Amino acid sequence: MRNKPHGGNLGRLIANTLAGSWRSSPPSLEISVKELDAVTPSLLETGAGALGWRRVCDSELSSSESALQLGQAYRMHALRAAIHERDIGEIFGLMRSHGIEPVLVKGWAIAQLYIHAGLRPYGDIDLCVRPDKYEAASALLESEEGKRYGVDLHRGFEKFDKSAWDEMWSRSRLLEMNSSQVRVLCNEDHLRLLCSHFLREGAWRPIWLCDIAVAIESIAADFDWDLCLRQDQRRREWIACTIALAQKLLRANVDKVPAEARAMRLPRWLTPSVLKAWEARAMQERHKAPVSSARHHPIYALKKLRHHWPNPIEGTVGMNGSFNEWPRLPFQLGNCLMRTADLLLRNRKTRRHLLT
Amino acid sequence: MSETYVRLPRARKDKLVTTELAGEKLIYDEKLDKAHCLNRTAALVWEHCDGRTTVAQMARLLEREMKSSTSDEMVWLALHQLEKSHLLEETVARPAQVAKMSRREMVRRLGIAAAITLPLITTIVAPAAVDAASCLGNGSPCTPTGPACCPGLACGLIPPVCHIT
Repeated sequence: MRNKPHGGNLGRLIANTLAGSWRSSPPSLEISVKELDAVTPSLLETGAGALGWRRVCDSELSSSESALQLGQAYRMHALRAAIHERDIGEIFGLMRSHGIEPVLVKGWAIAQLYIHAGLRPYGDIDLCVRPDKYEAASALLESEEGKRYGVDLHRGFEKFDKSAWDEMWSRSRLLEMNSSQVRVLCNEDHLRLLCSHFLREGAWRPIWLCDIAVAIESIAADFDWDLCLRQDQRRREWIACTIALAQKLLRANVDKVPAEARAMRLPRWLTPSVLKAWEARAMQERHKAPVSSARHHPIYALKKLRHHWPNPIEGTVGMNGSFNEWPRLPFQLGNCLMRTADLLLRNRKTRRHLLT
Repeated sequence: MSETYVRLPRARKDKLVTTELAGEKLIYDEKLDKAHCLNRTAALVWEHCDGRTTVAQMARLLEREMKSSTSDEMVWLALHQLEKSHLLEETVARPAQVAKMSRREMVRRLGIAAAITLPLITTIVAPAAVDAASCLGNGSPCTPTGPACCPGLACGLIPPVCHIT
């Protein structure tokens, strides 16, 4: 076992630890106890603890304190996966009984591609519903029957993709889950959605890049790359960059990816930005203090304001920018101003709504 | 009736979510909000707690499944742990000589090699950071410094629950 000192490059250590962890036989991990101790809190916080466990469970490190914590996380995730599966079956049944057919995105839809669902934890159930059914679905989830499920409801797919509801819906498919059927996107749409979600959220959770690696490696022979990449040039570039990142950081096998996408050159700022996002945990802090919480906890929100500064990835995607070598600061500034304006507009609307 | 012919109690099934992972049985008790991990021996005994199988039959079954020598005491030890974890419908009265026997004594009697087959139930405690990874749903109690509400929700002051922004 190497005894490499921990040189502060936590992001790269996270990448090394997770590389190939989703495979049925993960590659052996050369890491010291000290390094494992350093990387474990980040893995646990970002939901990658179970994947970390897979890399160390057959090694000399398996009895270390950190490895035991990762093992416990795996057990906990496995149990939560069983609970979520039951809940997903129930929520689909409830919605269908009210004439609503939701589409599940991320979460279970990606977890089922892993060799064990417990490897890919998810906190909530992301459901997209036809835009004209959103209000009815929302009311159902606020009812006594529906509020016990942790559902994140979306109006169509507008938050995730540019394609129209009808188009993506027509390609969606039903998957068997225990005794129920769950509607998910087709593989092509789902991979595109996973890539854009990873970038739009500032790439802060390493497990999202693992999802992309798993999705790429599970691609079947009939996967339609034209369908996956057929959006505008900019989005094609984003998806190609994300796939290239999965290969570079997590050693994803990209043999099934078309040469055009594989040839994508990553801009120099991208990889360091991802590694920094994994290391800094700024997004966890941001989620703890959304700007909207300032109304109730102004001092706390003010203290956490710096965590709301967009990273270069989030800034670029938020401004629909290109992944080129130009400086990222203008995109970050633009994104920050856009979000502030959006927040003020929403607050105004809410106030007007309350007054009327 | 001899202790050997005592029938195993019925296992509790209500409000339990179970799954299997690498030879272990994981159980979440929704009633008590507790998660347990049963090793293979404890899981086998729990699965056969049907009110019909006798202690002696269970011991033979364990011997066959675990490919290791076993005894009635091992079954009693499993039952004791299952009862303590509230995983049985009924209480079981252990024979006096077994009730006094500690796990350590049993290891001494069975030998180190057989000791790994001893039933074991542990409580699964999520490492503190794991909970931080999940977000709180709409209506969940929250604090500004605790786990975050899911995106689109904010932690309210009165009442202190996650609500849609």
